[in-house]
Amino acid sequence: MKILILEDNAILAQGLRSVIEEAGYSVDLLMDGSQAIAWLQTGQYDLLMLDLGLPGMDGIEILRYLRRRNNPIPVIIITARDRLDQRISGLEEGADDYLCKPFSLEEVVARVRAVIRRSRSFSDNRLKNGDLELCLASRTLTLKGEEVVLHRRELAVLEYFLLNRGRLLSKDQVADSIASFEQDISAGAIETYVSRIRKKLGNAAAIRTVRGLGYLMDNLD
Amino acid sequence: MIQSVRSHLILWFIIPLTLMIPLSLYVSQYVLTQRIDDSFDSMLRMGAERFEERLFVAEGEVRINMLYFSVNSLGTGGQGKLFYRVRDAQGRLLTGFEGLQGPGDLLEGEGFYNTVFAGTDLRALRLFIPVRGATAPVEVIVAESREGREHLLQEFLSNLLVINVGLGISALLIALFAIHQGLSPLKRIESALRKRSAHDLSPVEEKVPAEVSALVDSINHLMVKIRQNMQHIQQFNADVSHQLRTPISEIRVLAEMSEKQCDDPQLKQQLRAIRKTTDYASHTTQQLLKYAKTKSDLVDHASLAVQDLQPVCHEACARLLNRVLQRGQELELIADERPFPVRCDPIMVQWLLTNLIDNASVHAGGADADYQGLIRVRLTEQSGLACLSVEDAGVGIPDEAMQHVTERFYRVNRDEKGSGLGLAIVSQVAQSHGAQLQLRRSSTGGLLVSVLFPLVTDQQLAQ
Repeated sequence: MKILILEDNAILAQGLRSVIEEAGYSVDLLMDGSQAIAWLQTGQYDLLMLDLGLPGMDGIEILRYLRRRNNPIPVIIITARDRLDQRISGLEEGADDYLCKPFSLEEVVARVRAVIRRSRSFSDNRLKNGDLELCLASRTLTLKGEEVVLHRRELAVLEYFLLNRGRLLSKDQVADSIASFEQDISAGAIETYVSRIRKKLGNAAAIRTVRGLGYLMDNLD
Repeated sequence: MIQSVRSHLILWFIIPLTLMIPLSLYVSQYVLTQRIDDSFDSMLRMGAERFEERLFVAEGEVRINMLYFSVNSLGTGGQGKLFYRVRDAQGRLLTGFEGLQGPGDLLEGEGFYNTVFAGTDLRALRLFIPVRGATAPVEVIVAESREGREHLLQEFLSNLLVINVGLGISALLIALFAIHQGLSPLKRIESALRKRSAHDLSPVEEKVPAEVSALVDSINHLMVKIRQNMQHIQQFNADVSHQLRTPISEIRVLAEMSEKQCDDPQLKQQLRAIRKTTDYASHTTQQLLKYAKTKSDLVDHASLAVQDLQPVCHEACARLLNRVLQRGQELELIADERPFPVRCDPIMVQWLLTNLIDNASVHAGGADADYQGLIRVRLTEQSGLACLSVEDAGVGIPDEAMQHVTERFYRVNRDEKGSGLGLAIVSQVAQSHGAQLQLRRSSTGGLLVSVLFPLVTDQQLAQ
C-alpha cells in the first residue's frame, strides 16, 4: 500500500508521514503541486492525501485533472477552509473524504484506513469487522470462523454496512445501494433486512439504529 | 426643535400668513371707515342743503316750508335714524328737535361733529344757510345715527375676511403642494434607502435636482466606503480563520507526535494539555468567526431563499453523530413527515443546530461529569411555525442563568469546556431569521431549546 502526500507545510507533512507509516503504509511526500501529476501518472499509489492550498498547482485543479482522466485513485482532501463556508465541496469534485485543519493524527489514520477499505474491498475480496468476515468472491459470511447463511439481499445490505462502517447511512442510501435495474427497494424493506441480519448475527452485527437519521455500523477494529 | 424640513417650511409660511390677515383687515377697516364716513358725510351735507329751498322770509322773519317734507330726503338712504334742527339767527326754533345739541365748543362755524341724542350716537352736520331777505343765515343741524355706516363697514369687512381667508387657504394649499413637490426628490431618496435592506450597499440611482445631488453623491460615497469596510471585515475574518488554522494544526500535530515518542508521564500529560488547548483555540476561533458572520445586521433577510428545514436538520445531525456517539451519547431526530419551507440560510441553520447539539453534548453533564444520555432533536409544526428543538436529559441550567446563556462568553459553570459562544451564535442566527428562541427546563430536568421559524405558506411561495 502506497500513499502520496501532497502537503507544502513541512510540520504537517512530517506528522502525516510518520503516523501513516506507523500504520503500515509506505509514504511518498511531495511539497509542490506542479510535479504531482507526473508522480501520480506512474500509477503506483493507492491513495492521495491532497492539501488544497498548494504552491504550483491548486489542489482542486489536481483533483479535477485526475477525475477528468478517469483516474480512480482515492483522494483525501486536507483544507484550512471551513467545510461549511466553502460552498464548492471537494467531495462533489470527486474527493473521497475531507480533513479540516486542525485534525488529529489518530483521526487521519482512521480516515485513511476507511477510504482504502472502501476502494480496496474488491481486490482484497475480504471485509472484516470484529468477528465478522465477508468473503466477496465466494459471498460467504463467517462469524468467529463459522459460516452464517444470509439471504442474497441481506448479504448485500451487510456488505454495504461493512464497506461504510463508522458512517451514518440513511435507509434511502442503503436502499439505493442494493437496488438494481430490475427492482426498486423501499426504505421499509431495509428495516426488515436489518432486523433479520441482527437476528442472525446478534451483537456481532454491530448495527445501531439512529432514530430519524438511519443506521450506523460501529467500527470494531 | 422641529426636525422636518417640511414642517419648517409650513411653519414659516403659516406664521406670517396668520399675522398678515388680521393686519390687512385692520388697515382695511381704517381706510374703509374713512371712505364710508366721507361718502356718508357728503350725502348728509346734500340732505342738509335741501333745507335751503324751503327757507324763505316773510314779514321780516325767516320761515320754513315743511310741506311734503320727508325726513328721509335728508339722509343717506340707510336705515339710520335722522334728526334735524333748524334755528334762525336769533336762536328761534323753526323746525326739528329742540334737544338736538349743537356742536358747542367743538366747532365754530360749519362742520361735522359727533353727538348723542335720545341715547343714540349721532354724526351731525351744522350748516349756516343764508336766506334771501334775511339779515343773518339760518343754522341747520342734520344728524344721523351711525347704523348705516357701521352696517356697511361690517359688510365690507366680513366680505374682506371671507376673501382673505379664502386667499389664505388657497395660498396654504399651493404652498403645501409646492413644498411637497420640492421635497419629493428627498422623499424618493429616503424611501429608496428605506426599502433597501441593510445588506444592499449599491449606489442610490434616483434622478434628483441639482440641490440634492450633492447629498446623494455623499450618500453613495459613504455606501462605497461601508461596502469596502464590510469586505475588509469579511476578508479579515476569512484570513484569521485560514491563517490561524495552519499554525494551530502544526502545534497539534507536533504535540501529538511528541506525546507518542515521549516516555515521561508528566511530560506526556503536559503534551496532552497542549493538544487540548489547541483544540480549544481552534474551536474558539471558529465560533468567533461564526458569531461575527451571523450578526443579524450583516444578514440580509430579503436575500434568504426558501428552503426545506428537514434535509438541513438531517445533515447537521449526521455531521455531529459520530462525535456524539464517541462521547457515549445518543442522538435522534424526530421530524413530522412533511416539508418545512422556511426562508433561511441553510449553512447558518446548520450552525444553529450543530451548536445546540454540541451545547447539549458538552454541557448537559454539568461541571464535573460527562453527559451520558439522549439528545433529541425534533422538527414539528406549531401553529404555523416550524419548531426546531433540541432536548437533553442532563442537569439543566439554573433558572437565574437562563436569561444570560445567550450572552457571549457567558458560562454557566465557569468551566472551560466551551467557547462561551454556542448559544450566542444560536441566538443571533434565530434573530437574523426572524425566529423565536425559547429556553426552558425539559420534562426530565435537562435543557430544552426551541427555535420557532416562520413557515412560508403556499400562498407566499406562489407569489
